[in-house]
Amino acid sequence: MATYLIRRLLSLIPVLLWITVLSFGIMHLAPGKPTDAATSFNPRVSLEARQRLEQLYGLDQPLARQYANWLTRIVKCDFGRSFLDDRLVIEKIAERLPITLAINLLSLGLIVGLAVPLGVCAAVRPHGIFDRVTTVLVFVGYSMPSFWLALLCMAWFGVELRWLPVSGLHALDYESFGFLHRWADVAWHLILPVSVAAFVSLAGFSRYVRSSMIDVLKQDYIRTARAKGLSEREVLFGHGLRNGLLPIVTILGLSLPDLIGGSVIAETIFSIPGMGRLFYEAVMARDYPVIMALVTVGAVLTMLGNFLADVAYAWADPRIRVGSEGSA
Amino acid sequence: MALLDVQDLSVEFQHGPDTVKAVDRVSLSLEAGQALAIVGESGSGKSTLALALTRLIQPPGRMTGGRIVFQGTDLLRVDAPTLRRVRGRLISYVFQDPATSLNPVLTIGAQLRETIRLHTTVAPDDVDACAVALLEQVDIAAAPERLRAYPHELSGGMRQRVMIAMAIASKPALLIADEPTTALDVTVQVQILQLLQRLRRELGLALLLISHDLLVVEQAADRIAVMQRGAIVESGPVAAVIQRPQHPYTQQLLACRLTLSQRSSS
Amino acid sequence: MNRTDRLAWIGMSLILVLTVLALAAPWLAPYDPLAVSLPEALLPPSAAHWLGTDQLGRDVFSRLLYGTRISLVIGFIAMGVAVGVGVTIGAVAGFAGGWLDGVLMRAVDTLLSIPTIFLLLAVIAVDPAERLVSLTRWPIVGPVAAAVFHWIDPRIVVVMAAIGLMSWMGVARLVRAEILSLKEREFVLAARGLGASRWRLMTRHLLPNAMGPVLVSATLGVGGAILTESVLSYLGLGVQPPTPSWGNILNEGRVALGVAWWLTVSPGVCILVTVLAFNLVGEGIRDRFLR
Repeated sequence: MATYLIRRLLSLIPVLLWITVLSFGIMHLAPGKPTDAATSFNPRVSLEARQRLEQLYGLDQPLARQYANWLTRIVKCDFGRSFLDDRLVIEKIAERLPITLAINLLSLGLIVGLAVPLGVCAAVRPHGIFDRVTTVLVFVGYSMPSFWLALLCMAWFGVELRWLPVSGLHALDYESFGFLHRWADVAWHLILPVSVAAFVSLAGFSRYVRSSMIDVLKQDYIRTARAKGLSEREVLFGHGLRNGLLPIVTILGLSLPDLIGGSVIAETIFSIPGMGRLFYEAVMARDYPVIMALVTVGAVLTMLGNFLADVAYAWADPRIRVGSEGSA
Repeated sequence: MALLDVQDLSVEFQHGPDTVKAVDRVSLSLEAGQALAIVGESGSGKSTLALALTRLIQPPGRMTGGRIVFQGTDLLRVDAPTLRRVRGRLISYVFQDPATSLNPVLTIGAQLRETIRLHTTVAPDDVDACAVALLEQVDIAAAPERLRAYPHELSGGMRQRVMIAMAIASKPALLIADEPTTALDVTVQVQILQLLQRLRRELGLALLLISHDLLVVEQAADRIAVMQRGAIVESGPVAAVIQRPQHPYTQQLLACRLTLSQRSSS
Repeated sequence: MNRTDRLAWIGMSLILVLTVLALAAPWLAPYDPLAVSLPEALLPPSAAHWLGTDQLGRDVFSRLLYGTRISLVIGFIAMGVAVGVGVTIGAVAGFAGGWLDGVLMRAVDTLLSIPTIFLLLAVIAVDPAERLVSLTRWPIVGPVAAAVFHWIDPRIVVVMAAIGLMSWMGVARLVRAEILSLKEREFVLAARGLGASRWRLMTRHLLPNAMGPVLVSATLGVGGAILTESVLSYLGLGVQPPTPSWGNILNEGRVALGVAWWLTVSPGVCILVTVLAFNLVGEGIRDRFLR
C-alpha cells in the first residue's frame, strides 16, 4: 500500500505544476496589463506610480522570469495583494476557507448519508416502485439548475414560510448570543445552502450507489453467502455493502471539483462569506491576484481530496492494502 | 427413504416476451452417502438445477413446479427461516470458481467463522480452534496464519479447499459441488477430487456432483444422470451408462471425451 | 417498447418541439422581446401576457421564446466544440500512445482538477471578447470573423467556446479508452495485416466504433452546456441583457422574487424541461445501444 500511495503522490506533482502554469497563463491573457485594473480607472495615478507598480509586479521582465518569480512566491504562500482592498490575498482566502470547507464537508455528509440508503434500497429491488420513483426524482434533479432550486427554496422557506434565514452566516445580533446560541444560529443559517448544494449531487450519487450495488449483488460471493443460509439482510449488510461502497469512495473524490465549484453559486445566492463568493466578487471586479490564487487553491484542494480518497480506498480494499503475495 | 427425492422440477427464465425452460420436469433421487453426477454440456441446465434444490434461483428465474423432498420435507413448500436452516447446514454448496465465490474484502477466517457460528453449536471461545481444525481437515498447512489471509493471497487450489471447509463445517447430509474442479489446474483437480472422496468416507456425505468432465465423473460418482436442454435423458450406474450408453445424446457426449491416455499425451 | 425507450422518444419529441419554437420565435412571439413598456411592468400572467411581464414591462413569454434560441444554439455549438476537441485529442492519445499520450493525459488531468466554474469564470474574467474582436484585424481570418460577429455577439461566441473548452476532457478520456481497447481487437489486426494506413485505420475502423459512448456523452453534454450557460448568465457573465437568455431572466427576476414569482418559476421550468429532454434521450441511447 505504501508504494501505491507514494506513486500516486508523485504523479500529482506534474499536475500541480501545470495548474500553476495555467493560472499564470490565464492572468496574462487579459488585455492590457494586469495592473491596469488597479491603475487605469484612477486618473490620479501618475505615470511614475504606474511604472512603479509594474516594476513591483515584475511586469517589465520576460514572461518566463515572471512565472518563475510567481512560482517561488506562491510556494511560500505569498499570492500578493488584492487589487480591491490591498489586503494580502492569502489572508482573505484564509478567513473564507474554513467556511467553504465546512459547507462542503457538511453537504458531503448529507450526500453520502442520503444517497447510500437511497441507492441501496433501489438496488435491492430493481425496477420496483421505490426504484422507479427515485429514478424519476433523480432525473429531475439532474436537469435542474442548482441556483434555481436555491432561489425557489429561498422564496418558499425563507420568504413565504419564514422558517429559515436566507442570507448570511449568522443573525445581525450574533455578537450578543451565548456560545450555544451562536452555534445554533450558524447551523440554522447553514441549512438551506448545505441542502441546496447537496441536492443536485445527491441525484447522481444515488445512481452510482445503485449501479454499484446491483453489480455487487450479481457476484458469485453473494451467491455463496446465500447458499450458506444467511438471510437477505445479512447478505446485504455483511457481504454486499462493503464491496459495493468501495467504488463510491473514488467517485466521491472525483466529484470534489464540482462540489467546490458549486460553492460559488450557493454562497453567492445565500450571501455566505466563503471562498466561492470571494471568487465571484474577484471576477466581477477583475481582481486578478485573487482570481489566480483561488484557481490554484481550488485545484490544490481538489487534488488533496482526490488523494485522500485514494488513501481511503487503498485502506479499505484488502487487495491493495495487503497486496498480492500469492502464496501457494 | 431416499435422502433427496426430486419430482418433476421445473425452472423458467423470463427475458421480455420469451420464456426459457432451463430445467424441464426433472426427476432424480439420491440415497444417503451416495454420489450422483449430473453431466451435460454448457447451458444444459445443470447448474440451475443445483441452485434450484435449495431455492437459490434469483429473478428473472422462477421455480414453476414439482417437489423437492429432502429428508421427508418438500423444500418448495417450507417457509424462509426453515429453508435457511437447511442451506449451509444440511445441504452445502461448493461452487466452480473459488476466486469469485469468496468475498474479497473479508479474511478467510471471518468467512469460516461466519459459517461456524451460524450452523454449529461450537462455543464462541472455541470458534477459532474449530476453524483451524476445519482447515487442517482439508489439508491446508499453516492453518492459523491462513485464517488471517484474504482470498486473493491464496492459490486457486487453496481457495477451493477453503470453500470445501466452509461447506463441511456443519457436517451436512448432502454436498452439492458445481464444477468444483473446472477452474483449477489439472494436478490440483486430482487433489481436490481425492479430498472430496476422503471427506465423503469420513463424514458419510452424499454428493451431488455437477460436471461436464466425464473423467471426473468416472472417478468420483456412483450413479450418473445426463442432462440435455433442461431434461434428464438417461441415468443409471456410472459404469453401465458409460460403457453402454442408450440415449443418442449420451453417446455423442461420450464420443467427445478423451480417454486418460489421450489426455496425458496431449 | 420498454419504459426507457418510451421516455427517450418523449425526450426526442420535446427537443423537436423546442427546435421548432426556437426557429419560429419571430413569428410565434406575441410581442417584441426587447420592447420596453414601463407602465406595464411586473404584471402577473394574464390573457394579454401569458407569462406576465418583467420590471421593464417586457413580455416574459416572448423573451422565453427567444431564450430558447440562445440555449439551443449555445448548447449545440458548445457541445460541438467539446466533441471536436475531445475526439481529436482522445484519438491521438489513444492511438499514438507513449509520451504523447502521457502529456495529453496530464493536460486532461490538470484541467479536470480545477473546479469547472472556477476555470470558466477565470477565463471570462480576462475579457476574451476583446481579444476575439481584435481577430477581425487579421489578414485572412479577419473578414470571416467579422461576418460571424455580425450575426453573433462575440461575447456569446466566447461563452460557447469557453463552455466547450471546459467539457472536452470527459469526451477525450472516453475516446481514448475506447481506442485503447479497440486497438487490440481482431478486426483492427486484420486491417493492419492488409496494409491499411494509420489514417485509414483511424477514420474507417477505430473511430466509428468508438462513437457510441461519445454520442451518449454529447447528448447529455448539450443538457450540461445549457445548464452551465444558465449559471453564467445568471451570474451576469454569460449572455448580457437585453438579449434574453433563461439565465439572465432569472437574474433579473431575483430582485422581484417575493412579488413576481412568474419571473423565477417560468425560466427555471424551461431549463428543467429542456435539459430533461436531452437527458432522457442520452440515457435512452445508452440503454439501447450500450447494454
